Amino acid sequence: MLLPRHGVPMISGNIMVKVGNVDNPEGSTGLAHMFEHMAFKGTDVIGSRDYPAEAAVLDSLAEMGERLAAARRAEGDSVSAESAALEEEVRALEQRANALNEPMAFPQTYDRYTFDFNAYTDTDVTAYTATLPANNLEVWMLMESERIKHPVFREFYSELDVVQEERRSRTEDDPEAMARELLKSLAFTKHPYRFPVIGYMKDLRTLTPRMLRRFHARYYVPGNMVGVLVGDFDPDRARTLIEAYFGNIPAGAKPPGVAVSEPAPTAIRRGTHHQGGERRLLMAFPGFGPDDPLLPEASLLAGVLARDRTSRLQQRLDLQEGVARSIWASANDGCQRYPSMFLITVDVMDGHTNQEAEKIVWEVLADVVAEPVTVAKLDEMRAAYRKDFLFSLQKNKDLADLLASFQVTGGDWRRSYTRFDGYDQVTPQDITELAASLFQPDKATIVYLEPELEAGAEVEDGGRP
Amino acid sequence: MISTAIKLVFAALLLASVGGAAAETPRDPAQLELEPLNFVMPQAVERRLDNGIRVLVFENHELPLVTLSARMAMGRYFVPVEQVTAVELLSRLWDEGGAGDYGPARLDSLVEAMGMTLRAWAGDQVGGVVAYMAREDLDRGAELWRELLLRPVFDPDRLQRAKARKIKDLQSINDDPKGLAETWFWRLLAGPESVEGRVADRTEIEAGTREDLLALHRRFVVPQNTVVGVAGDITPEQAVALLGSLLGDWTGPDPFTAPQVRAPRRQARPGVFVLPGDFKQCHIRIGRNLPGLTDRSPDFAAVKIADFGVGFLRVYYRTRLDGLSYGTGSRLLADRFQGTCMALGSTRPEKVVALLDAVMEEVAGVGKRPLTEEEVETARTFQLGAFIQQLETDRDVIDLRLKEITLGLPDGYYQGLFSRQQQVNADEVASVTRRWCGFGDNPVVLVVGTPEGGAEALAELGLGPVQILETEDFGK
Repeated sequence: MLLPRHGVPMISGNIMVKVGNVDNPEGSTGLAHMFEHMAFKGTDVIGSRDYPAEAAVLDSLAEMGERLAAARRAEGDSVSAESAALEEEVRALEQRANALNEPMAFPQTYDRYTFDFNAYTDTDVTAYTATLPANNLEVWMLMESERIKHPVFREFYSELDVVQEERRSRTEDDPEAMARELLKSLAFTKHPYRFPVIGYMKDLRTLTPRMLRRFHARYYVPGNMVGVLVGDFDPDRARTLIEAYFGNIPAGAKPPGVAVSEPAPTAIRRGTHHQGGERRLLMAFPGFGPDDPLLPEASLLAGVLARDRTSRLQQRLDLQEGVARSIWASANDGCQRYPSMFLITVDVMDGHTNQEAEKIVWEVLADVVAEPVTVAKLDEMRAAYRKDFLFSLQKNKDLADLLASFQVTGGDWRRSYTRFDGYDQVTPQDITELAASLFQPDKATIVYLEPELEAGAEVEDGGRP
Repeated sequence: MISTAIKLVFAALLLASVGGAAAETPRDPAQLELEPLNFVMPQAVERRLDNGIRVLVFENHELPLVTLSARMAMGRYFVPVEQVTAVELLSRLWDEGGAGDYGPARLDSLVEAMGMTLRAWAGDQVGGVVAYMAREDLDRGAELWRELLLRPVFDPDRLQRAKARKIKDLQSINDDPKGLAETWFWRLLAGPESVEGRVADRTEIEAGTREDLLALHRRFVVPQNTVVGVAGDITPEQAVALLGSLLGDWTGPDPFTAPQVRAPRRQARPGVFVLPGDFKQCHIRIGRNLPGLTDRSPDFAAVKIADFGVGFLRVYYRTRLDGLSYGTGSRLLADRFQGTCMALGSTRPEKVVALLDAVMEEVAGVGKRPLTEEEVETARTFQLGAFIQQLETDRDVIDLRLKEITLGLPDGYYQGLFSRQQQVNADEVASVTRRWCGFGDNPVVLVVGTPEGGAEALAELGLGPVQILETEDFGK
């Protein structure tokens, strides 16, 4: 998708692949994210001093990696002598490979031409983003197509160390992230949305270079990717370059989707995570997929609950009772391919409890049924969402991301704005009916983030069920 | 109107379906012949209202949106240290506490009904009131913006709420190892009584009154200290007419004395410090104050190139390649008063010493192993992109010019800095890195967490005895 905009002489590109955490093989959580990291490791041309020699060492490393992964799977919680010895061999092989390559050559080459390039992986997609001066358009074409066509997964084990650092930093040392991880593991019993994008540490330790190769062959095929370019470029030239750089990528087979459906919950699920000194309440109800006809109602319902300071949860919990702040509700928990969660989170103030906050949340959810939202409030919200969308169109990078996201997850970029037509059809009664059917205790998953326990203290509610 | 505008944005969208045989293409960017970039800095139009207020306008009709932005020289650097907490409370409450005849609840509902954004704040040196709104809401939105600028209410109930939230923020510090490292690092590098290093205590927060906030507002928000920017779907003539009707009768004190900024005095406490904590990762900070380096120094353009070259191209890549860290880097920074050379990052407990060694080796080592011409070129490209990106939207164009004015920078400062950066060569960069990069003999080194090997391992760094800090209950 090409969207020329001749403001400043910059372009923003987004290559989005329809592969995310949901597509990881069983027992390999974090693979899609690890792949994204490894997509910055270069090609046979960019980053190698002697590719045939390097490839031979990388093949040996891949073989050894399989043995290491098998040893780690077998060892349980403590490191076995076998896996320790294999790890040493793997590290030595990686050193040998590094002597034949130029470490970090791919990002350092890209750095010379860009302002910013990055990537992200979430539950459903992986995206490679770049913003660069307009005269470097062809560099974007070259670098993005080369890493799809000729990736070389060098420096695998040092990057695996980095990913584990990322998990420690962004998840394990963040009490709220750990509580969310618990929430997902309780809210989903079958669907892979129950796993963290970054992966569990035990799974990360068993990832291998060969897994990456299989993953690449399966998911990084043209029919599973969308490219978006927004900014100051000539569309005719861009088309010619796209044809030249991307036109010879083999079509490949269409990758499978996720066949597993999440069964409807039948009883309330609860968990408690103790870490740090803060309290936070997380409540999830069954969510809505991109094709669900109830999605417009659900989006507006989330707005009625927590969009701003006049919303119902914010009024009660924050402004009237001072029990909480940072109250948030979302119908879709992001742009997702499958039904996910209707999520409510509440940051509980000092001197108050999660139980107190939860009680108020249930009262407010009941009030949405007892005191229906007015037509005027719904109209306000519809207009406000349209204006929010307008504000989001100002920056090229955001626009590229928006177009790619809706094309990949919803199958049509036009949904980014046609969804508002659905909002227009929603009535107060629709909101009431949805709230009545959705906010049932037996459909809820509730997690309390509680302060760390003093040494020797008993967990009152049993913690993770 | 909004729906039409949305569709117009996408009217130029083209779908390029790709397939078939492709031509042989280069496989390394070095093989490409690239045209030079043609960039002309967009300029805001400048006008004055009859009462002397400067107005900057940047017209852009792509989207039916308008930004109104007032900026004042105000903030924590303009007040005695005992008033800093009051400035922080003002910043927190200003746009939530009502405006003019609108109580806070009424203001909230009016703003939300229009889907506009209305924000007000006071930072270190600059404060402001800004409104982003749809063109169709301009009349009503501009009136709310004016009321918030001239007649904030600072509602007493909302003040209590703001205090509770500020206390909650303080209480959260100990949960976040990164925030903890940041708080303690500035305490050690700038001093616990400095603006940068102080942490408000609960008593001080609870003592703040509505009258304190109103007095601060009266002192700084006067026409002589205010410049206004307007951007978006509006012509300069329309903007001046609108502002004339909104602010034309606004008068300030006569005679007027411009607020004086106070140069912050840093009092570093050099040494190696450990703040123990039960975290999976240890967070590190290393720093040294650089008196004499400011953002007005003649070599500041070269400093900006060195900042990216050392901090990202050397430190970040080295620590990633060694598998030590997800995100460690260094910074060479300066504001109008002083400079700072610092490094920040995190790693697992068993790699703390290795990470500190790697960072210090790269930062100090740049004196002996200067940035290459290629690295300097890379840094220039980054700074070029960074500068242009700062001007991507109409709102960005006025923001940069407003920043220039309110920070007391000379006219054309940013354009000049940008031009100089594009001409800086490797010799100049080597000169500034020799002068400013490195942590000297007495740096502040801080580790938050529990590094493997404890104090003894850190003592091997040879930076003196290791001191153990005691956790504080912030906000209690």
